[in-house]
Amino acid sequence: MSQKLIELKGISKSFYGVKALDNVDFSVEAGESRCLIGENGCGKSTLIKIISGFYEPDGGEIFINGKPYKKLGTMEAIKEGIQVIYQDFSLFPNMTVAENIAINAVMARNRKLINWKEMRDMAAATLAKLGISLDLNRMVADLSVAQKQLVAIARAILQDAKLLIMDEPTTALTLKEISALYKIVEVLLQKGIAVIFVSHKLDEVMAISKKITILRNGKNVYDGDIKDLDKRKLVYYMTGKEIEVEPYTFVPTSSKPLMEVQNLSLAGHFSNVSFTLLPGEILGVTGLLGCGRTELAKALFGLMPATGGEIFIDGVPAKINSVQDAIKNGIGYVPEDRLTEGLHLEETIGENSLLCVIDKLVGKLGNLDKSKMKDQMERGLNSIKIGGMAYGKPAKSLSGGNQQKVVLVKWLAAQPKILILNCPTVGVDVGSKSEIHNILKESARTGKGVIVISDDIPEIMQLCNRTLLMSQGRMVSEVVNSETTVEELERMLVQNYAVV
Amino acid sequence: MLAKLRNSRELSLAVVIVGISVVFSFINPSFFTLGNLFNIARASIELGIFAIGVLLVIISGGLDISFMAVAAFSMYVTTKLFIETGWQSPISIMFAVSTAIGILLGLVNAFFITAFKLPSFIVTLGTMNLFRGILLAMIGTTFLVDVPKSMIAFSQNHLVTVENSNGSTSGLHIGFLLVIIIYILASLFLKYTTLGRSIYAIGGDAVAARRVGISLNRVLCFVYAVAGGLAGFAGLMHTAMFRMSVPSDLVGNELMVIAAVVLGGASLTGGKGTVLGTFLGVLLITIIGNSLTLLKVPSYWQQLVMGVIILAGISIQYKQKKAKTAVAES
Repeated sequence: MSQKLIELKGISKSFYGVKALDNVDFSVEAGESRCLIGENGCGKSTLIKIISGFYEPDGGEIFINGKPYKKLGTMEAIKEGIQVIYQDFSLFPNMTVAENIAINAVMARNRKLINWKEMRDMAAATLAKLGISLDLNRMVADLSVAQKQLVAIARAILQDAKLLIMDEPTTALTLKEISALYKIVEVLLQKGIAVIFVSHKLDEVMAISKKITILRNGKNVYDGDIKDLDKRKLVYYMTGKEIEVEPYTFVPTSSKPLMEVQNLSLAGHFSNVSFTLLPGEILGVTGLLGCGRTELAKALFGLMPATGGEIFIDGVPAKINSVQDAIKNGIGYVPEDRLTEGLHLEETIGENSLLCVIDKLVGKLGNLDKSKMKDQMERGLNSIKIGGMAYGKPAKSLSGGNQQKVVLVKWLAAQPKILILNCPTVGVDVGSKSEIHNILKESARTGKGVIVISDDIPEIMQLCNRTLLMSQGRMVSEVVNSETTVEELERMLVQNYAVV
Repeated sequence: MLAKLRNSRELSLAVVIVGISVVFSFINPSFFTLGNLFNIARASIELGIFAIGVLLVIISGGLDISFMAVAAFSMYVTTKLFIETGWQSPISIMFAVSTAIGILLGLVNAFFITAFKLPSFIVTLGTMNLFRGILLAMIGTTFLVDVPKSMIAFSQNHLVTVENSNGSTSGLHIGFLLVIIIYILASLFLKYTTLGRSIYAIGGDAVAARRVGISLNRVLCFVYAVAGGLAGFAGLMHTAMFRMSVPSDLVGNELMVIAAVVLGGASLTGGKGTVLGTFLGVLLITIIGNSLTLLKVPSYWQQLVMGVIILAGISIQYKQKKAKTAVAES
């Protein structure tokens, strides 16, 4: 039995009387890869903040390498080799790779002057140690997300990290980048560095970690080997309920397509994309990051108007050159990044829910009619369970999953005939995800056409009845979901990547 | 290094400066005389000193618009002090006093920005009026023309003097040497000190900077104090060069300095900007002003031309930046 690198016993922490953590035990050994998993608001981030010294627990004990800590400060945590890689990486976009890697180590030394050569040498040695090749002189702003992550890892390692905590490390990575990340993680583990993954992407969790800790409502509900869990159990521990996963069955009601796209092209992004969408269908569009899937969605919604090809709505040719055109044609779009494109974070939840129908809520004088607004808010927001919801609270106070539900409510209020969703459940926890899926299935059953763009194959399989596969800006194949499996589709996705 | 320079902002700016100079020298042959170059150097002194203070603030992610008010306050109070006490001190002590007053006023800015976490633009909008109000309401509105002797001597302190074709003389003012020294020091400071890098870090990502252990308040206090000090220094330079102190002077010219710094490649979103770029930005604006005067363009038209050039320069810069990020994302 190796020495525990970090051990937490009976940790509790409350915020304003709400228990975020309730008597939680948690430990990591050197060289161990452990996954910390749970739905939004389960206490994951609180636990991480206690380990990294940001919060002081209300009760319980912390041992690092067997040494007890009454109170762990951030500086002590860093000295003990605890490093957190945040989702935003905390890098300086205006500095070079070398400076970003070395800056923490340099600042920690408390010297007045900078030795650029030494800094570059330190950075180069660290990258070499990890087997990463990156141009030291490049500006971090010009790097891809995956490269930024590598810089953040190298920076942590340069500070003698013994425990690396990675918060949602794979969210914005392509499959290829994820496997590259796993290789680096293997190197770290071999060097005896422990890694904690904070995640709610179940499939990845299963692939990378040996041990798992599941939190639910501030309690440690499972702690053990990952191999003893199957996906069903995992979901059960996370949500506390069995989630029935029933694929969507499409019953054709009409053979007249709601939308027909012929040879649609957008110079530089995709070309000759053709498909039809029947009423009641949920059509999946999948492909790896950069395959043109996002651009396709934007073209259909008029954000990046297509440069060639035709779109028919209800059999009538439609010109979609702007968002206004798209809305006029009954198209709704839920964007990929709800924080910057989907919601006004500072505004209230109620107001956000009204935005797509605001012109219908005016009174006789052209002013906004308060009672009409209230009716609409109630109609929209009561149709879905949104945790922590109050009309007057700002949208940013909600968790990711609940924010996404507000975006959906907003668009459904406009009663679009066709709803396009771009990665609707990225960063959304399992429970909310299944609720969002149910809403979409329900809308499709009422005769709407839904297009879901996603690289989450299990999601595509559950949600859609037909799937289009894109690669390098082209539509490479079309599958009927009931005739394929998750594994088959995943293989197709990767294969297409390998070919190009 | 060469490759880095090739697509750098500094190089394109230098090309523009050379191009404009060539064009102007065709229109007016007296442009490329030593005498005129000395005049350009002299005209760039004040703008140049202000610009370094503005550069530091912009790199840290802020925007200071109070510096002209700080300069006017410092120069007027200092001049009044020396006139009324009748102390015939060397110019260096006057510079020191004016700089010290500037630092104090800069710390007032820093206090509001750090203690109340207010945006620097709003704070300095307030202090600009505050400083100016105190100066005009409580300290004085009269022009001080009877300035100390050392100021008059300083205004004529040239390193070299040449005779122009029309018989007048032009000299390379010693103030230009001070500007060069300030620029070299600022450049070394920003590149080779931990504090200098911290300013870039804060401008790049303040949250990340805090996580590295940089004390935002300390660094920002330093930045605004230095910006204030440089403003005080430049203010006294203004008084000395014109041999009079006018309390209503300077305020209103803030945007010209900010434009020079932004033309030099500093980004108003923070984290970016170089001393060399700022120098070139200052030079460009000074050369254009000088040439238009040589061409006898009326001053209102000069403003118009300057406005067009600033807009064009900044538009091109943002266009380039956009193209660059588009490449990075694809």
